[in-house]
Amino acid sequence: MSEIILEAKNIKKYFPIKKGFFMREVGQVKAVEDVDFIVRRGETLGLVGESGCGKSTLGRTLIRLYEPTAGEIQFDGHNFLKLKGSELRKKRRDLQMIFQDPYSSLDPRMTVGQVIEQPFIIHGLLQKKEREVRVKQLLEMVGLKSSHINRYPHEFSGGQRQRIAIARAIALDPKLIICDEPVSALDVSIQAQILNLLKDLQKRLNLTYIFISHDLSVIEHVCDRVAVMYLGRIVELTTREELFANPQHPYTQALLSSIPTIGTGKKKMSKVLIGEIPSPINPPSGCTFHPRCPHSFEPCSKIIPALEGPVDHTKACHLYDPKYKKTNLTTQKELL
Amino acid sequence: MNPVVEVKDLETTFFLKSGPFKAVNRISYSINQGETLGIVGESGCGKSVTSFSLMRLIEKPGLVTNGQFLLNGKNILLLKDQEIENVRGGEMAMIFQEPMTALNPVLTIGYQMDEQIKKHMRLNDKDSRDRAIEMLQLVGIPSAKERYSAYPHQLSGGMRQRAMIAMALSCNPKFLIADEPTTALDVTIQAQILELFQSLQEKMNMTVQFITHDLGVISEVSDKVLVMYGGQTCETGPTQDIINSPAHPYTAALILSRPQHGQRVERLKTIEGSVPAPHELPQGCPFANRCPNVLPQCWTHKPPLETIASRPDRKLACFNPLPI
Repeated sequence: MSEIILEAKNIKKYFPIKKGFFMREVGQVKAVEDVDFIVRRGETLGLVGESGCGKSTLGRTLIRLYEPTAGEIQFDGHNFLKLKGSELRKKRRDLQMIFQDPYSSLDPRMTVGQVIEQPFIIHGLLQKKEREVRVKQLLEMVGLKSSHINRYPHEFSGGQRQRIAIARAIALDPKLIICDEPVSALDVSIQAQILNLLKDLQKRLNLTYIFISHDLSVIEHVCDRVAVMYLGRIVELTTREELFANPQHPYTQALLSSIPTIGTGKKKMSKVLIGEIPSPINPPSGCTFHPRCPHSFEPCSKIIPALEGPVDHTKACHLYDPKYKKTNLTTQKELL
Repeated sequence: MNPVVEVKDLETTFFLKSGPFKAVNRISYSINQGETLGIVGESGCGKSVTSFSLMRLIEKPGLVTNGQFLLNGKNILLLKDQEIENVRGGEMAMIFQEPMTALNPVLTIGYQMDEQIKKHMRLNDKDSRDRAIEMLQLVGIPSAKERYSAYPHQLSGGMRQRAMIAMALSCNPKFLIADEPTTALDVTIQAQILELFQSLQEKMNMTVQFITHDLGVISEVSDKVLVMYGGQTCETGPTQDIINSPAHPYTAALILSRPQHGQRVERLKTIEGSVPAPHELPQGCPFANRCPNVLPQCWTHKPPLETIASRPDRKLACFNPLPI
């Protein structure tokens, strides 16, 4: 088992809600609540969940675009949250991000060359000539032509723009890249190109990815391990094979059964989840999933389940707690 | 059985500064009573323009330049503006992709529904209110009475889409166009909406045209499918047949480029390049510049849409199809 590159401990991120003339704080949006996980060097960890589950907030908190409300992040041997000033800057080189919307993440007034050389300028690396050589090299690495260097983002299609964003992200030889829904704004045929590119670069540059997506088919394609999030918490964390073959948390099961699949025929939707995601301002008591859960029983509304189980398959669900064994624990087959 | 919907040689042209551009180029199809036709394609292929043309919602610089759209034998494209207002929302209705932009933010859900119900069903205030609330209940909106007087921003995305569906169905349309109705929604909510949609369709025996870019959704809701590219039909036929054995290289590529649940491959098949810009469309087949099976004649001649000899229920426009 390879070494741990990033460890997140009890990460919390609350956003204050302010109201009135004095902007008094009247409440908090609990976007991320007690999240723990590790990422190993060279792997791809998927974060999956529906909108509002906190996956993007978590991604942004990990690179300190948002300062976490509480928690600890160990990155590459450093206590990342304690770093300041030039030290933080230096460490940030190793941590990059690719955003969802390639239309808003590139400055429309900068040429592609300027966009990609920004990281070198910011970090005071390379001379002008060297920068140009490197930028051209990067463009070719992501499947664009070096002659594109003087064009503006609007001259490119969505897929090509995402390639530019990827070139910018890998410019400083990072160790870890957080990909926040990198393909959800793209057409299917273009999605495949970008997913293949990300995989190739991972092999070539020995990158580690944290891959955020709402699309389970994409997650299944790229990830080694997957964390399923619901209302700010991780509800199940396991390997890809386990997750798709043997999902245990009722939410994961519902999520998997809602993926539309090709070639199964016109079918009756069976396991459709009722209700919607509750508000993170005032989350339900106990297990936050219990109002929608088909298997909820007494403790669910009272006690928050911990993420437990064998190391390679943890889940936060009372159904698997031996304390409650007597109650009606249905088998996998029945649940699905 | 006579088809409820017949579209013949539909052509919609946008007169742009750079010259005219045919967003929809001679599309023909028909849909029978109670059937669902899925139209699938990537952005810019003309699938939404097709629906807007049928609803007579094309605005300048666009114009429907050719073709017929027969709804129960009546050519909708020839109706006067006033006549079309009686049909739109009544006999045929449309559900849009983004309920937040399709609904009027300063009017309550109830007001917007009433307007339509009063016009088409000629009901008085009280009856139309009852009808609206009944529809909201039918689409599974909890506490429908309160929601009736709510504004669109007070509802969640899934609820807004339900309200849109309720509105579209409130006058018992015979023909419903659903333009990417679930694309903006989360998977679990998408599953809820698709389920609702199917049960309502069965109940009301509606004829539906369902537009999406998601082959998975198409495969679960539609009986027939029409694959579009560059404003033209690539192939059309029964959904399962086409998805299991696509004949057009574009359909095949579309299916293979989608990561499939349960079938993990090291690399996804890709379609090289991207959809060409309107003025860059090849002379012949619009897919020629990205096609792995391209022949010299593909560049110069448009492949005609013809019935496949061995599959009389399928039509294909390709000079060099895959074996099926």
